[in-house]
Amino acid sequence: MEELTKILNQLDAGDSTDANQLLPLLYDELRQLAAAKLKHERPDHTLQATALVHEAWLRVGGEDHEKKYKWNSRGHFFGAAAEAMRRILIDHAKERQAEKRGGNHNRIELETWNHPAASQPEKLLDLDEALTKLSDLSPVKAELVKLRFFAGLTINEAAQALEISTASAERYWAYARAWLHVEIK
Amino acid sequence: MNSEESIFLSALNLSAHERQAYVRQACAGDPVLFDRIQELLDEHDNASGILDLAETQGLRLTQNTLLEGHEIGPYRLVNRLGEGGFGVVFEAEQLQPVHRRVALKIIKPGMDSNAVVTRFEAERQALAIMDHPNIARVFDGGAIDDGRRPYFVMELVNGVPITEYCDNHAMPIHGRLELFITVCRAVHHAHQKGVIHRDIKPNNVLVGEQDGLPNVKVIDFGIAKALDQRRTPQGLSTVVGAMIGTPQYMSPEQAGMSELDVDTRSDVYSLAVLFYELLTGTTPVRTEALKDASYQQVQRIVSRQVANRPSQRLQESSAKQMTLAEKRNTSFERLVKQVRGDLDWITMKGLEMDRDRRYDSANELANDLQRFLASQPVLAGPPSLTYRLGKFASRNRNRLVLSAAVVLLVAAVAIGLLNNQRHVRAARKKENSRISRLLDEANAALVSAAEDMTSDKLWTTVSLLSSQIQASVATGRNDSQTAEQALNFLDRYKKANQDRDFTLAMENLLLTKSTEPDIESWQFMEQEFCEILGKRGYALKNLSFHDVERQLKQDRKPLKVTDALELWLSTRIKISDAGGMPISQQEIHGWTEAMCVADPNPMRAAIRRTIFGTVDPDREFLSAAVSQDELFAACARKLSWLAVAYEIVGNADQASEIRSFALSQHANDLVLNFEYATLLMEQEKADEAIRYYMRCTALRPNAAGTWRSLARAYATNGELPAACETLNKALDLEPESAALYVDLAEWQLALGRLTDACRSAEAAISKDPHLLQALPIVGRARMLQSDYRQALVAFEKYRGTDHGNADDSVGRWIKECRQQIASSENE
Repeated sequence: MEELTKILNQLDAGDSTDANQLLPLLYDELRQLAAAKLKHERPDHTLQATALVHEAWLRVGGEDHEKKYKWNSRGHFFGAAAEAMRRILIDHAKERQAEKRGGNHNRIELETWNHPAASQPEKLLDLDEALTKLSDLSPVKAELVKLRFFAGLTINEAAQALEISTASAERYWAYARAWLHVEIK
Repeated sequence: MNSEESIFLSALNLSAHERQAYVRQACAGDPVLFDRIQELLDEHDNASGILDLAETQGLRLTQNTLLEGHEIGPYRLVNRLGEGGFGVVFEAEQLQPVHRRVALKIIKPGMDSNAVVTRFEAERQALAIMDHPNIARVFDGGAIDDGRRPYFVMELVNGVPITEYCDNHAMPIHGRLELFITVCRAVHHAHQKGVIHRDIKPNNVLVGEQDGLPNVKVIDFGIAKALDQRRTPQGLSTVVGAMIGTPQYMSPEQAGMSELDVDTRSDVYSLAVLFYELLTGTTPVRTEALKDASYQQVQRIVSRQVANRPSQRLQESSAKQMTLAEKRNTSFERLVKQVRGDLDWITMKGLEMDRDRRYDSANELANDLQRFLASQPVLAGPPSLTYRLGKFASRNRNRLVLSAAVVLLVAAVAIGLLNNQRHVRAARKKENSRISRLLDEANAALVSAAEDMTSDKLWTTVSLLSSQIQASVATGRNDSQTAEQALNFLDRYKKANQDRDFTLAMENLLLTKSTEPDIESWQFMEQEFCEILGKRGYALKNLSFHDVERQLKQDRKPLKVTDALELWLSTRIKISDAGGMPISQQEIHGWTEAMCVADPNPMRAAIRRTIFGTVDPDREFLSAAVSQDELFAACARKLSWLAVAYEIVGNADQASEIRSFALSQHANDLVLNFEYATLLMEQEKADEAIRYYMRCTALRPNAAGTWRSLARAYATNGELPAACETLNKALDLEPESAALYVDLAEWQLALGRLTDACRSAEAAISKDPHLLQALPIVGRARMLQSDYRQALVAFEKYRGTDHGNADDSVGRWIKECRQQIASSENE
């Protein structure tokens, strides 16, 4: 957590910190957060995977997170979080495909995380492949999709994180969405 | 921006019909691009892609964090109570106009909150007049965040979910019942005020304590409707966790698409699920079964899967038996015993897929449970009660007819006393209008009764009306036109009655004999068919298929007769296959074609030809014929034959599909249920078969065959006490049936009820001295009672027969008996 905060502060200050360092930290952070949640919540309670990302953000930022961080680090944060969540979900989907049944701990945990796509591993893997293709064509559209789909940002938030206008984000989204759906059909 | 993207985006801004023209023009000369754009646009309009999952979810729960101390209207958030799929709940303090503590439920963003608020306002009136100590009141509703997040203000309830409460307090079954009855009454109150809950589940039925006593509160009335997930722009939400209605508790019709179709009986279903959980600790559809399921799968599971009876489910939960029993403050054996029977039936009646078969109201469910608590017979069955009701109807049929006759007699006498011509005329006029009304009613009743030949209820009505009409005709005081109408009716009634007798006779025959595998039974059945058809004017022994074909064309109900002929022909073929009187392929062909001429419907003809093997089994041929016919219009029997036909052409999936369809369309068809159950038995699914045999016993409580089959299914499923109990019902109906006694004796022997077993076996022999299977049962029972002499008598008698001779174990037993006798004599 401290490490995360430090990197975000450095990013804000414009230090030459590598934003990629965020990724492994966030990956762990998200998993820990989910595990802690599962322990304390009622068993029938389901966690929204993407809500976790936001929760992580709140924890990093504390009470006044909105004021504390500029969009610069916020964008990095959610970008990294979306990527972390993507990896968690994809790993999970691959595991599920590898062994259709089995009491793997990670698997149980993830199902309880309840990302809307967690129950459809095949589709998720197809989507990921298509996203890689889209990323070659237009990295910003792929990034937009990741922010929306894996981190659960709204168009507005995603636009801010990517530093583009909302109108552009909406157009990008419309095209990317149709493009990806055609691709994985 | 490449041109593909720009054309696509420009097209999006156009209306649907402008789009087409624009894309055509923009892609002029490039058909590949044109197709590509079309494809993209199609996907754009399709809202069911994987990326849409993210949007249907209200994912950003914590985005606008609500914290203790915040004020929302006149409410100040005090304490965060919990969080669920819908949003967060806070304990809040209301300052104006009264100072009180309330619960504030704030819905996650992502729904059309205007609509939510509008729907809530519409429901508000109804919610306001609900006043019940066991219903948490809903005070207020509104929206925060510029109207983006709806919230509801409710009575603050201190309590835990009912299931948890009962488990924590190790509450015995009776206590659970009492609590649950309170829940039913509360829900019923709401229903009477026109409010359906739509989301009854343990989390919405909280139990707290007041003066040391449990206090039930049903919360969230009206919320599910206001949230009305189904009308969100994205359509159905795709993930279980994101659904508002919780699928385990959802009625099949709720899981279906038509939200409009939900009524109070959907709540009855959810109540039954809750009750099931209180009894067994699990929901009928297990939570695990839904975990990985897509929405479509969930829908399928919820609307098709028939759950085990609670007592059955208890026995399955092998690992947790001790805990389950402990939490119900009893031993496991007693728990199963308590649940088996009435509580099973009550639960299953609440869980009927077809809501017409459920309890009509939550109150009825509660009343039945109350009856159970008071040790009175329950409505839901065991089927014996339906049986008693059937008896009641038949008892009263005579009484109704009789009392009607008495009234008419009195009227006639009274009228006879009046000499005045004027009075006579007036009386005639009155009688005329009375009889016309009667005739209208009777005609209508006859029409519906003719639709359902086997319904006792409908036919009782018709026969009552017709006897009144008959009596009226006998007075001779009707004008000629009315009299003619009346005679017409009576004629039609007579014919319809013959049809009914015909149908009933056929069904009874099927039920009693069709599961008997031996050739004698088939021969008996063939004779019976001949007799039944003979009564109908078809003397099969003297007629060729050409004659029958001609005669069929004149018949007023050729379909009924072809039905019977089909069955008759099948038995003939069975007999021939089993080595009895042979039937030639030409004969089969001739009869089949005769039926196809009389009933040329292409689907039915194709089924017939496939089943009787007069065409080569061919999927294409069958499917082609089927597509020509509306399956929905097909009667139950034909659907079942169609399933058989599909099995013959090797398409088992299609066959089972057709069977489920048939059962969903004709849930009340006796033979269909019976056949299905019998099929399940063949597939060694006795447990499922029980359910369908149960339906049969409810549909036709006075046919011994259904009871016997149910009993056998119980026995196969290892439920011998239930088997014996059920078989006794069959014996009530057919006390002279030796075969029934043999079954009973066998099961009693297996249960160790030796005296009973002996008595039953001896009864079998006294009814039918040729029934030798009963002898070794007597022998075994005597042996186990250490009465070796009697045992020896029975075994030796048995060994003297062909059966006994072939049975090796008999020799062993005889030897053992002799040894025992010898050693006792030595002492």
